[in-house]
Amino acid sequence: MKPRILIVEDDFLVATGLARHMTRLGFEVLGPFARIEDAYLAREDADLAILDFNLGDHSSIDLAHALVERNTPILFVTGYSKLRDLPDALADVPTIQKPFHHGRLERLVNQLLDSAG
Amino acid sequence: MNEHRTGEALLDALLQTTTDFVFFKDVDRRFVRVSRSFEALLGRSEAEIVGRRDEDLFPPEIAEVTSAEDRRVIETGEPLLNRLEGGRMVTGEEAWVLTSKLRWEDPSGRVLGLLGISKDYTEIKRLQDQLEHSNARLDAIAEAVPFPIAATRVSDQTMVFANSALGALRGTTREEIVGVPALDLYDYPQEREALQAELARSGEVNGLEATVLDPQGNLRIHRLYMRNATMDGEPTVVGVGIDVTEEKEREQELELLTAEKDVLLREVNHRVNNNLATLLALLDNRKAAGATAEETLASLERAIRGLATVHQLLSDAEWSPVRLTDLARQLIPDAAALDPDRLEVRNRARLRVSGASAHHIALLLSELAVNSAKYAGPDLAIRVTTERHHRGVCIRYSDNGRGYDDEMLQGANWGHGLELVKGLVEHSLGGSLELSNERGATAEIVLPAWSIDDEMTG
Repeated sequence: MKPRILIVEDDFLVATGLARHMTRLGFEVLGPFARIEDAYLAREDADLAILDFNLGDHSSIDLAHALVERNTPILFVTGYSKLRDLPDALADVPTIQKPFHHGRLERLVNQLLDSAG
Repeated sequence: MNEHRTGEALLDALLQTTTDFVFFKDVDRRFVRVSRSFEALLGRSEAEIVGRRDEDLFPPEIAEVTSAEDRRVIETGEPLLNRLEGGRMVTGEEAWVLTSKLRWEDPSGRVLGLLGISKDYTEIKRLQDQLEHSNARLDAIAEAVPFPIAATRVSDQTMVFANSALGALRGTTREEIVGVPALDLYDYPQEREALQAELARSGEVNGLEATVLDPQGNLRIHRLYMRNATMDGEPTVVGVGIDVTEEKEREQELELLTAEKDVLLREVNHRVNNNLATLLALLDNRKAAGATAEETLASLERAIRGLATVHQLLSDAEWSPVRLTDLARQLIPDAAALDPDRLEVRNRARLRVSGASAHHIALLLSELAVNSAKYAGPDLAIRVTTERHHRGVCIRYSDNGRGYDDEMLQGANWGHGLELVKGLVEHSLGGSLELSNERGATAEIVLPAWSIDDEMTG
């Protein structure tokens, strides 16, 4: 069964680009979602999640907590050079800074899936 | 009886040996007998002095005073005791004496004149003057220093010295402060305790800050410096407070400003990174769609111009929301090669956009403008209006061209431009897009309030 990647990103072009790339790599894409509420409903089906840290005036921290609690590997993408004040539970979440290279994202996704077994 | 013990001989001996100035005067204030020390004081022999009055022997300003005293003692019989008098003698030397004068009477009570005894006070007076000068110097320094200065006796924690700057700070005089418990100077118990702890720990204070309410009710922050000293033989703490209120205020302003700049820089950086991510994603999107190099370049150029315009407007507005009117006027004429006079913008909803929303709207307006230029005739005119809508805000874009064909109105065959507009509206802005030919080609975009009120996020 194809691993399912949950994508949460509110920039249309970036979101569809991510989805296209993940599909091309053979993953099943959940989303892409622009809003936390929509993504929340799909969280239990995800094997891994790529989360834009800021969505409109919300952050994806709550969703990140819910995923980490289920031991679902996640990674943040963000335009910030460094995420500040991350809670302890999310301190070790890998972060990819925008603009990112798809190759780098691909390696990280595979690593996370491998270590999640 | 031994001749040396007669009254006359004893008096002679006394007058020869005493270091006090002793003199007898008759009722006319003429000298009758004087001691040897008195001769030395005036630099004259007794023979030269006897028969003369003060005014013949002393400078007039001294003689005037002593003569009046002499007359009073002789007339009233009231003694004059330990009176300090003196000045510059005719010899040029300054001399001060502590004088007592008593009426001289014979055993029957007949007044013969007066007896005077003056102790040499010149040296003591000199020391006294020196001490006064020294005190005055200390005072002058304490008063000239523009900071509050205080001294506190350690044994009972009482103020033993204060300058006027400290008095003024407490709305009183320096004299009123002396005798007051030192801790009364501090308005805040916490600072009082910190000060006591610091003194107990190291015996001195180096820059501890204390807040004092001045007589005008303003909080003044003082930086305190204190050292141990001995005053009047007792352990004393001497301290000075330097008013750093303005300095602290400037520091705080600077900190605030730096923090603001830090946030701004972080947000601008974030915005730039997101813009670059959008452009790369657009390139990827065009490649995936099999667009020609020419089409891809044109899309990229539009997107870059759109993002650059938003960046410029936001930066001019110091990153506060910009009016949709300004955004439309900056973008549409260039994107559609349109005379600016043929663009009508009515922003009834007074829509302002910022951050990510501004970027999304800039991209979609550019795409709509390019479509208008592609399908409309040479007399192209474009109208953009905004109005409040029950779901948020409605942006209506229309041109005067031939309108969308039936397929497009059915949602098919939209092409890259319209698909991008739809994606931006529905995905990024959470709104809805409807096409019609109500007035040329019309695109009605309804956006929820949250998508256009946001600040720099995404």
